[in-house]
Amino acid sequence: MLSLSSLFEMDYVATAPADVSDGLLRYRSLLEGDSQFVRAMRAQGYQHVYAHPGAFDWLGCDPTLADVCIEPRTDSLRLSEVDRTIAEMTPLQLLTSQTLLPYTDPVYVADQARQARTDAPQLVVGHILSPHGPYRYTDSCALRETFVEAAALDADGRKAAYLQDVICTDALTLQAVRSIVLRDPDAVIVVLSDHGSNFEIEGPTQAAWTEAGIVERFGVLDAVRAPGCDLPEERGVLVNLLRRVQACLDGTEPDLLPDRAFTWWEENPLGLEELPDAAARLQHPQR
Amino acid sequence: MPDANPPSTTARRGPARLRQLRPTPVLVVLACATAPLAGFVYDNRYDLPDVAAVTPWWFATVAFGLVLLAGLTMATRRASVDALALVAGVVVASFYQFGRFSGAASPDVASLVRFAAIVGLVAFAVFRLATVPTARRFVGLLAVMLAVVPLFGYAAWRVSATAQAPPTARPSTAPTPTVDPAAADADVRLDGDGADADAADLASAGVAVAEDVAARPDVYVFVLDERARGDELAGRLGLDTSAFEAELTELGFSVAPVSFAE
Repeated sequence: MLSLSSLFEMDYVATAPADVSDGLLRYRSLLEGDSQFVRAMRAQGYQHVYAHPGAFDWLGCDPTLADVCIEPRTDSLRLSEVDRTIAEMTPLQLLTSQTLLPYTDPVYVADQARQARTDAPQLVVGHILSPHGPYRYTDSCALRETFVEAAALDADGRKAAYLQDVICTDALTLQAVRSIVLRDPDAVIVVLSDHGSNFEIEGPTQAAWTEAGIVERFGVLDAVRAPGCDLPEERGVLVNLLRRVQACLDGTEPDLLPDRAFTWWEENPLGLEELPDAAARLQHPQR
Repeated sequence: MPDANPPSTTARRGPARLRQLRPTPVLVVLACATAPLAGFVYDNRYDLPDVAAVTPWWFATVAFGLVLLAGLTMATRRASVDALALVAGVVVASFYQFGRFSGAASPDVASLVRFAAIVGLVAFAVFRLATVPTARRFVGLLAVMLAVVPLFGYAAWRVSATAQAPPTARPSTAPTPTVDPAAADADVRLDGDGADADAADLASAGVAVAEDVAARPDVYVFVLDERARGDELAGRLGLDTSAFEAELTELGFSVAPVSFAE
């Protein structure tokens, strides 16, 4: 959450424990559109189209921050995250495990955005939950009958399910990108991830993280299609990515922030701590 | 603490037994119904958007516990109501432990039956234990503590966090969008069934679009949550995604090989 907040805010939103002392929910509006990047784009006349992942109570679509809200697909009873989580503590999970979480994919988001098109240029932000669990795709990339929670799998099963979802989400991303490029060769397209996987053991403090776990968790997908712009291959920290895109759109030089990274743990956000020598350790890891 | 509800040698089954319900057994059931949900609230304090979302579960659990206590009380003649309250408390508190019991396994009816059998045994053991007044008081006090401690913990965190919180999440220098206030009425929601969006609503309701803006390119940002970097997928997890990256490159993308999150 902090990673995405910083991405859209184009700045480091949390650099000290005090920044997260009252929890992380204060940053949700940054994801929903009240960020430097989205505000600047809307100020330039862009229509903000936002597709939220659908799985979290704290993250939805605020109609005051988005011109168009793309609601996720749902094929069954829609439960709130709190209701679903509590139900899974009880025997009611026999019923709730048969329902699907709302879901989106890049093809769906691109199609829905196209239907909402006006004369204004579009800024389409699609937060796709996959390949994050619960895992949703079969070997043939069809939707599973019921999504599988990571906690319901052993280590090998979780890894296999995660990788299958990577394969299928990559394929759907390519399908969406191809259709966008075919229709609109000038489109700027950013495909990224907010963080990597976490099969290495992590802990509630930075000291408990292994070096391999840090690289695995912080390494991200970063692919940008910006016709007419020359982007460096080594772009470093994600917080500068949309600064580069914005500068590209404006025809200016990007004003970049220094590379920094911070470890924190969902159950212990107050353990937030800066990662020393982040760029060296994360860009050229010792294997 | 004297035994408020000693077993009666002359009592009968039925509604008349409900007169033996005193505040203490009701409090025990209340505590046992509250404890697991209080723990849930405390454990999820950093990302629970609204504590009120838990209250329907709490009301339902308390109601279930009290109905169960009333039912047990009416169905028995000699059993101490305090002991029955502990039995009802064990049942309602256990209700929220099924997830731990089933663990990684996919839940099924058989696991529910096994779980019910274990809860029954525990409830019986607690019932027997409750014949000893000291043990009964200890278990009752424990239930109250399990309910109260996380609630106090949550309240203390709330007060402390509010006092320490920075004033705003976003610098106040952020630019203001040029969307007309009337545009709030024009917001379009697309539902999951793919209903057509009335895109014209936006334009007709006054979204200000500068003339030179129309020439700007569309911008798409796709966030793939938790998608690992290519070198990590290949080196650590054994998945070669180079074909994906090559196709992106063919489509005009610049794929950064070693980017990292902040």
